[in-house]
Amino acid sequence: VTPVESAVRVTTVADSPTELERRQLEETWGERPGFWGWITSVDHKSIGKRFLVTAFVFFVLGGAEAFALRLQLAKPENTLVGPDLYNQLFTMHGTTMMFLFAVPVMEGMGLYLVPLMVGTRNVAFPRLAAYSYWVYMIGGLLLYTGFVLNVGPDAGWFSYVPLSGPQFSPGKRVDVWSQMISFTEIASLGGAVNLVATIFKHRAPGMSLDRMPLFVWAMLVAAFMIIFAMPAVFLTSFALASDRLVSTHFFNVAEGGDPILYQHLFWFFGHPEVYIIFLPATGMVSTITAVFSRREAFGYLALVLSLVATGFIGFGLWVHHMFTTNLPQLGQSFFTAASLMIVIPNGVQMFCWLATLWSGRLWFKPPLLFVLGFIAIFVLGGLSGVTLASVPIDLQAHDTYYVVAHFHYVLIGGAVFPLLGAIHFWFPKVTGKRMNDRLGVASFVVTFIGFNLTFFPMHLLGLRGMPRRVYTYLEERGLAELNLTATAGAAVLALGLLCYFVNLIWGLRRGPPAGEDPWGADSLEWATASPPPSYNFNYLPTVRGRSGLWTRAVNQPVVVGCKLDMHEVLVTNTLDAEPDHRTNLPGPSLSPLLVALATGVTFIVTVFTPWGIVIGGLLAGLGLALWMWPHGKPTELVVWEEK
Amino acid sequence: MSQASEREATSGQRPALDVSGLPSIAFGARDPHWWGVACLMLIEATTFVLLYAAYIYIRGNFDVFPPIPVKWSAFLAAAAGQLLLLLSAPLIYLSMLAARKASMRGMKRWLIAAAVPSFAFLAARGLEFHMLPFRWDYNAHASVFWFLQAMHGSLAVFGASEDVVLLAILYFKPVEKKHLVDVHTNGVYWLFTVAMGLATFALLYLDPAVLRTLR
Repeated sequence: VTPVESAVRVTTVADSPTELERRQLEETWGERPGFWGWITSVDHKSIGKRFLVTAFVFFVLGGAEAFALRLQLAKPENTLVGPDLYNQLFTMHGTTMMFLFAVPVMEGMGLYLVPLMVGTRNVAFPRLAAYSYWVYMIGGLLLYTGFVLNVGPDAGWFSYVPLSGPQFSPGKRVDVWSQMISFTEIASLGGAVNLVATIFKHRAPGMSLDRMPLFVWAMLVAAFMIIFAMPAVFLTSFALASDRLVSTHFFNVAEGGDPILYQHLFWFFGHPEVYIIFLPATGMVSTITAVFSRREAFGYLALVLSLVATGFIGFGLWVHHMFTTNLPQLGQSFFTAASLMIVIPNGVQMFCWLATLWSGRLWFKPPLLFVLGFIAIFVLGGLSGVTLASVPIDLQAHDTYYVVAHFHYVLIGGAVFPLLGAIHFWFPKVTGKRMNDRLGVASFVVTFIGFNLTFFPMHLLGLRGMPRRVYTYLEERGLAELNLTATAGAAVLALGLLCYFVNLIWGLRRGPPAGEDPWGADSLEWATASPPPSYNFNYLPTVRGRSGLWTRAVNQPVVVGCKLDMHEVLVTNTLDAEPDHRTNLPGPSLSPLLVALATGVTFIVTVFTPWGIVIGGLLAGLGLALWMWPHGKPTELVVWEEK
Repeated sequence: MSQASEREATSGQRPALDVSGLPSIAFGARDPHWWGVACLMLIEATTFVLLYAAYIYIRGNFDVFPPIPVKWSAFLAAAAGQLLLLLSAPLIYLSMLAARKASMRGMKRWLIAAAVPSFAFLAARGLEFHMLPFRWDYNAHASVFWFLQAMHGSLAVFGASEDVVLLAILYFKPVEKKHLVDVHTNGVYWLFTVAMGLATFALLYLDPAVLRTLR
C-alpha cells in the first residue's frame, strides 16, 4: 500500500448531494452573470460551445465562398467573378475551411466533451482554453476584415513562394494570411496542450488508459499531432512574413534561400493536418457505431493502435504533395510506400467499424446515417488517395480537379459527415433538447446526394485536364456539362446543409426535452443532466470498464472529499487513473482576454512594422505577469519549515 | 452484489472514495502543470529541430560555407553565454529542490542566484548579435542563424522574467502551495532553455567549417 493509496478512505455518502452542497457547487463553478461573466468565463463547456458556434459561422462563410466559385465555373468564360476576386475567394475558402473551421471545430468538440467523458469538472488549464478561443476569434476577424477591405489573401491556402514572396505579391494580402496562421496555430496548440493534460491527469478513478473512450483516444492522438505539426506552419508563416517584412532570405534563391524548403516545412504540417482533422472524426464514428449498434466497439485495441499508428505514419508522407518538384527517385519511392502504408491502419479501423455494425442491432437514427455516409464517401476518397500516392499518376493529376475531388471526399466525407452525425448525437447533451429525427434523415439524404453530385464529376474533370485555381475555361475544352453538374450539386449540398441548420434551430427552440441519456449511450457525459450543470457531475464518478455506463455497478462508488468552495478536482495517475492528489483549478479571469488582445496587437501591428513584436511582446509579458499574479483569497498557504 | 452493497443501494447511500486526505500538490509527472510545460517544451523542441533541419538544408545551397565567416568576438560572446547558461543550471535545480522541501529561504536564495547568470546570459546574447559580422538580411544562412538565436533568446527572456515574477510573489504575496509547483516547473523550463541553447550553439558555432574560418 503506497502512502497515496492509504490516504484514500472508503466511505458511504447519500445517493445525491444535498441542496446546500449543490448550491455551493453552483456558486463555485457557475459563471458570473452578464457581459463580465461572458468575457471572464473559463468553463470548458462555454468555451467549447463558443469554438463550435464560431467555427460554424466560418463554415458558412467558407461555404458561401465555395458556392461563388461554383457559380463562376458553371459555364465557360463566365464573367460573374473576375480573376482577382476568384484568387481571393479560393484562398479564403481553403484558409477558412482548414484553419478557421476544421481544426477549431474538432478542438471545440474536444474541449466540450473530453472533461465530461473522463469524469472531471473542467479542463486542466481553464484560462488557457479561454485564451485559445480569444486568439482564434481575433485571427478569424483579422482574415475577414482583410477580405472586406480588399486585402484578402490571394496566393492559395498554402501561399507557396515565390508567388507569395515580396517580389510577386506586394501589398499586405499575404501578410494578413501569414499572421492569421499564427493566431490559429497558437489557438490549436493551446487546445492541444489542454487536452493532453486533461486526458492524462484528470480521468475518473478506474479509467485506465485501456478503458478510455475511443473519442478521447482520438482527441489525445490528434492533440499530439498538433503539438508536433503546428510548429512547422509557425516557422513557415513566420519566415514568409519576415522575408516580406524585414528582408530575410529564407526562400530567396538569389541569396541561398530555397522555395522547396517552404514546401517541405508547409507540408510537414499540412499532411498531418489532414489527420488532425480526421482522427477526432474517427473517434466520433467509433462512438456512434457502438451506440447505434447497441454493442461495444469491435476491436478496441486494434482501433486504438490504428489511431496511434496513423499518428506516427501521418508524419512520414508529406512529400507526396511535392512529387512534381525535383525529388530524388529514392525519395519518391519512400514517400509512395509511406503513403500506401497509411491505408493499413485506416483499413483496420474501417473493418472494425464494419464488424461492429455487422454484429450489432442497428438503430437507424440520423447520427448512424451520417456515419454510414462517411464510410461510403471516405472509402472512395481513400481509393483516389491511393492512386495519387503513385508518382506517375500524381504527375499527371497534380493541380487538376482530380485532386480537388480526392481531398473533398476525404475531408468532407472523413470529417464533416461524422461531425454532422456527432452534433446530432451530442446535441441533446449540450442543449437538453432533441433535434428532429425526420428532418435529420432528410438533411442526410439531401447532403449525401448533393455532395456526390458536386464532387464526383470533379474526378472526371481532373482526368480531362481541368486545372485548379483557374477562374474560367474555354467552351472547346468540353468541360461545361460536368461543371454545370457540379454547380447544381453544390446547390443541392447547400440545401441539405440548410435543412441541417434549420433542424438545429428547431431543436434549440422547439426540441422536446432530451433527458440524461436519450440514446442509451455508454460514456460518462451521459451520466449527468442535459445540459450539464456548471460543475458537470454531482459527485465525481468512477468507472469499472470501457463503457462507463454500460458496465456500471448498481452501487458504483463516487469520489468525495474535494473542497466544494474551491475549484478543486481530483488528479489521477497517468496510466491507471488511480487517485493521486487534489488540485485547485483557476477561476474566471480577464487575463486570457487581455493576453489574447496583446497577442493580437503583436501580430496585427507586425503586418505594418516589425516593432509590433516589441510592442506586443511587452504587452503580452505584462499580461502574463498579471495572469500569474495571485488574485483573491489565497487557497492553501505554505507552512514554512524554517523560522 | 454483496449484502452490504444491497443494503447501501436500498438505503439511499452509495460507496464513495474520500480523497480529502490526499495532498493538494505534487511535483514532476504527477502534476498536470508539469504535463503542460512538457507539451510546451515538445512544441519548442520541434520548432528548434525543424530550424536545425532548415539550417542544414540551406547550407547545401552555398559553395563556400559559411558564406560570411563568423568573428572570434561573436564566438567568444556566444561561448560566454553558454557558460552562463551552464552556471545557471545547477542553481535553478537547487531552487527546484527547495520548492520540493517547501523552503522559502532556499527558493528565494536559489532563484536570485539563478536569475543573475540568466540575465547575464541575455546581455551576452545581445553582445553576440552586436559582434556578428552579418545581419539577418545578408543571406539565407544569416537569416536562419539570427532566427535561431533570436528564438532561443526569447525563450530565455521569458524564463528569466518568470524568475522575477516568482521572486516578487515570494517576497510580496502570501505564498500558496501551488507556488511551490510553479517554482519547480519554472526550473524544468529553464533547464530546457539551457539544453536548447547548448544544442543551438553546437550547431551554429562548433561546426568544423565554422571553426576553421573564424577570424
